[in-house]
Amino acid sequence: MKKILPGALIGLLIGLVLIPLLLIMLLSFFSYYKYPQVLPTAFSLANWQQLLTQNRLFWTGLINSLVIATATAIGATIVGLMTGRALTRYRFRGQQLLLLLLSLPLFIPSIALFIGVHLMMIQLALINTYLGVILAQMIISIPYATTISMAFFAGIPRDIEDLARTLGCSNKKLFFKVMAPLLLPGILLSLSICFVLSFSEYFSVFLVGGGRIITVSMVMFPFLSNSDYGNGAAISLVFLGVNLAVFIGADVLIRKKVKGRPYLYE
Amino acid sequence: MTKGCGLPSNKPTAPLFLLVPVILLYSLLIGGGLLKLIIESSGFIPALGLQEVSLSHYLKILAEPTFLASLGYSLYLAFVSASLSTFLGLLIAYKMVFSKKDSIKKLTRKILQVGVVLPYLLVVFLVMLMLSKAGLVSRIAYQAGLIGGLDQFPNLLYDPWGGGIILTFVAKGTPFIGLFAVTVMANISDTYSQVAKTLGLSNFMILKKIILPLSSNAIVWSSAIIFAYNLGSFEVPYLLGNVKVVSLSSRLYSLYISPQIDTIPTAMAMSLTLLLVGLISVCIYGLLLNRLLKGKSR
Repeated sequence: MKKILPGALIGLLIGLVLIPLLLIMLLSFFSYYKYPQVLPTAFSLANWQQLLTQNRLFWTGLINSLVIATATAIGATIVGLMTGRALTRYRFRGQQLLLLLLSLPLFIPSIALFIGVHLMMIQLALINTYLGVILAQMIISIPYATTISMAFFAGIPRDIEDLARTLGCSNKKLFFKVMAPLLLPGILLSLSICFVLSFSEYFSVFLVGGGRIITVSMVMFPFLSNSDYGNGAAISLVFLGVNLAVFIGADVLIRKKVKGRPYLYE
Repeated sequence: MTKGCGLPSNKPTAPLFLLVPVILLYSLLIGGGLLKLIIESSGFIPALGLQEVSLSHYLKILAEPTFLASLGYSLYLAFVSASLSTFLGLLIAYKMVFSKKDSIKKLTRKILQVGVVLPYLLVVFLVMLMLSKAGLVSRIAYQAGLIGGLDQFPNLLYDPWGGGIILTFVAKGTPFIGLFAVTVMANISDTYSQVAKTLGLSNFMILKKIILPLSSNAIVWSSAIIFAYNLGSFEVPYLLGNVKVVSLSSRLYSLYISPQIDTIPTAMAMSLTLLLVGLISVCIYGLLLNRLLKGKSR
């Protein structure tokens, strides 16, 4: 096999990611894009103005998405920490089974999974509610949150904990004074991943929210099915901006404040 | 992935309270949902006046050629795109692990991370902008004199082979698998490559004989997630699909929201069938990939 230049591969990757993103940026700021022209012309803020001031659903969707994704991230991370702690520190019957079942939601085709979840939500009167949407999102996030928390718990030597206990440390103090600082990179990683997962989700919110709970994905969907490129481009940038801000923010915090290894998305 | 590496406690049982949230959430929503699917797919929905329990709804959908066509189409889309993503993800990871330049490693990792945080809907939009009949590629082809108008541009998006759908899945699957692969492969490579190199093994042989077999668990795990996701995705085939061959998710959704009462058990039977076929095919896919990575195929 001839050596493929790594440079060529990188160039291809950059092209595949950057060119379409650049086009989106141009499309949101230029209004004229008739067929044979390669790049849009006629600078205009009309798309942004329409999205930010005239589209009544946009702000509702953005605020809903932020609230739901934040709640999902916090909920999934807490459950992930508890589950991860139990699975790394204790030995109990059914442990292997639990470990296997934990990832199950990721291996079930999501539409079948969420139709089942939807039926239960109807039963529990959680349909069309924020709580219902958040719980549905947590199901998908918990496997990732638990995997991360297990990796971080496993990295804390048992001796540290025993030492703290010998010195008379209470359970509460043990967690907040000893474990939490060591787990902080993992907690940030888990929060950011779960946030991005939830913020990007379309189908489960649409189904469980019953069309009543509008998120950014739901505002964007009709732009895609109607090929409304201008509005689609503007909302795409908002979508991407939030995800990147959370991702980069968590990365910076992990690197700078915690002085940990850059664990993010590794 | 990571099993409990901490020392086991002397206590035989975990404090149950740590596991209460996850067990409650999973058993109530997933387990309860599964139970409801089983009951309602048998035709027993007293609230709607349906009381006759039978397997007829399963027999009905299994005898329907359009259902089988949709199932086959969905499996085809999931298999082709997950395999391509795995191949490309591993290729990128391989190039990265053996690259001497740290700057290239960092840059590639950043690009893969951006790929992971891109929402599926956004990738659908990008694919539309690039490959539709009036997309960027068509425009460039026109300017270069390759085609005489947008009518001559091939129908890449809404074709029966699902080109646009596969491209979207591959664009999202590759960075996900690539990042997993890079991380485990880099750890293994650090440990063993020097030894293997002194013994005169080429990079490709190191990959084939050492790195792939040892990192197969993580690769199979990530690849199987992508396979299952593709199989159950609703919005991607819905937005980029052909009208003639409908993905199973689109068919299932339209049946599920149908206001007719007598279609409900059929929709439940279809959900459960997809769930079971999904789990089985994920297992088969994972086992095949594992064999391939460990080099035991012959």
